[in-house]
Amino acid sequence: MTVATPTLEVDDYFVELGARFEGRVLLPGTEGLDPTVERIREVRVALRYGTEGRGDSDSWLGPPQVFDVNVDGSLHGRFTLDVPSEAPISYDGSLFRVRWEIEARTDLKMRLDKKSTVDVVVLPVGGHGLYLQPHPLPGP
Amino acid sequence: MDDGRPTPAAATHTVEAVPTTSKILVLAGIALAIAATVAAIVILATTGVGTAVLIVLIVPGLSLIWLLRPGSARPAERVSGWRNPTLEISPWPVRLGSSVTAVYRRQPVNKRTVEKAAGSIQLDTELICEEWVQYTVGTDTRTETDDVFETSWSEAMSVGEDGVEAIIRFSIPVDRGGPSIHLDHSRLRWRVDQRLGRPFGPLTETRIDLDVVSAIDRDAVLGEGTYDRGERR
Repeated sequence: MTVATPTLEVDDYFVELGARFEGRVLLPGTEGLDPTVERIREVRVALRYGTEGRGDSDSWLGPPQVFDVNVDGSLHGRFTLDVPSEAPISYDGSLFRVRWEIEARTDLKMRLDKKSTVDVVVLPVGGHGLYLQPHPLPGP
Repeated sequence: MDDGRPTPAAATHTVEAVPTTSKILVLAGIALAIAATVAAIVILATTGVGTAVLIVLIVPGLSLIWLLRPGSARPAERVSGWRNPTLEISPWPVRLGSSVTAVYRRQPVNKRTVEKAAGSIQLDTELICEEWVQYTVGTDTRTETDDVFETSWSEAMSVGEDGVEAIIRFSIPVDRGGPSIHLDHSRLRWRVDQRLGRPFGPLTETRIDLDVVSAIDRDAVLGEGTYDRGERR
């Protein structure tokens, strides 16, 4: 973990299809000289889903929201990411699962990007308040 | 403005079921082969090899002509004796937790079919939610499926000259399966398989793919409706 690794804070981890995730992306910055800070180009936050399990992987990456950092390398940005209404919901099945996450990535000059992710749950429409985990709901 | 939410589930939607053609063709092929072989054996016993071979060719040939002759009925309908059924589904779109009512209607191809039914017939229905995945091993592409929800039931229908009609009811569970998912390598799909009972059986088997939208019927799930965890009402 360096000053370039972004932190994500999500307002609500459970959001319905067609709605949006909101939250903050943070970089601490530094008071002293840190060569890493000079290398930060921008921070991108995006929503993505991918499948896991028996089948080959399917994945999707949404359009990123781009943030410039302050001179000291700090960032307090607010993001809003729309969940496409035609996308699959979070699903935990027998042969595969669909996993959603928000990804924040610091783009560094001539270095590998620093990345952090947060798992989120996309619910069916009308499902807010009913779920504590991806679909399906627990049995009786 | 469209906020991406499905319209309220109140409409009715009619869909034509499709015959499970491969099964019908296999069964029809087996029947033809048996008929041709029996005929050949009989002829072989009474006349000669040449006639027997001729019969083996003629029986399937005539059958094919009968199947493909011009007319309003499609080949699979001729084999089964029934036209493809329709299901009138409501509410539409189908949501998770919804209690669904579907009217099954099916017309006979001709009067003989009605006479064969002798007044009453059974309708077998299966509701299935299936996971499907595709994966590669070396240069092979393989698929795997798993039925994550399955329920079946039967009901009796009376047969009139216009055919049969039955009302079926079922619920979409929220604790098994899920909404329809169509990704390249991972899918979740619902289907309704139906067939008529004796004396018709497997040749009348049909299927509809049921699209379950990613929306939940809150009233049903929270107890104000008729949700019963996917069991038939």
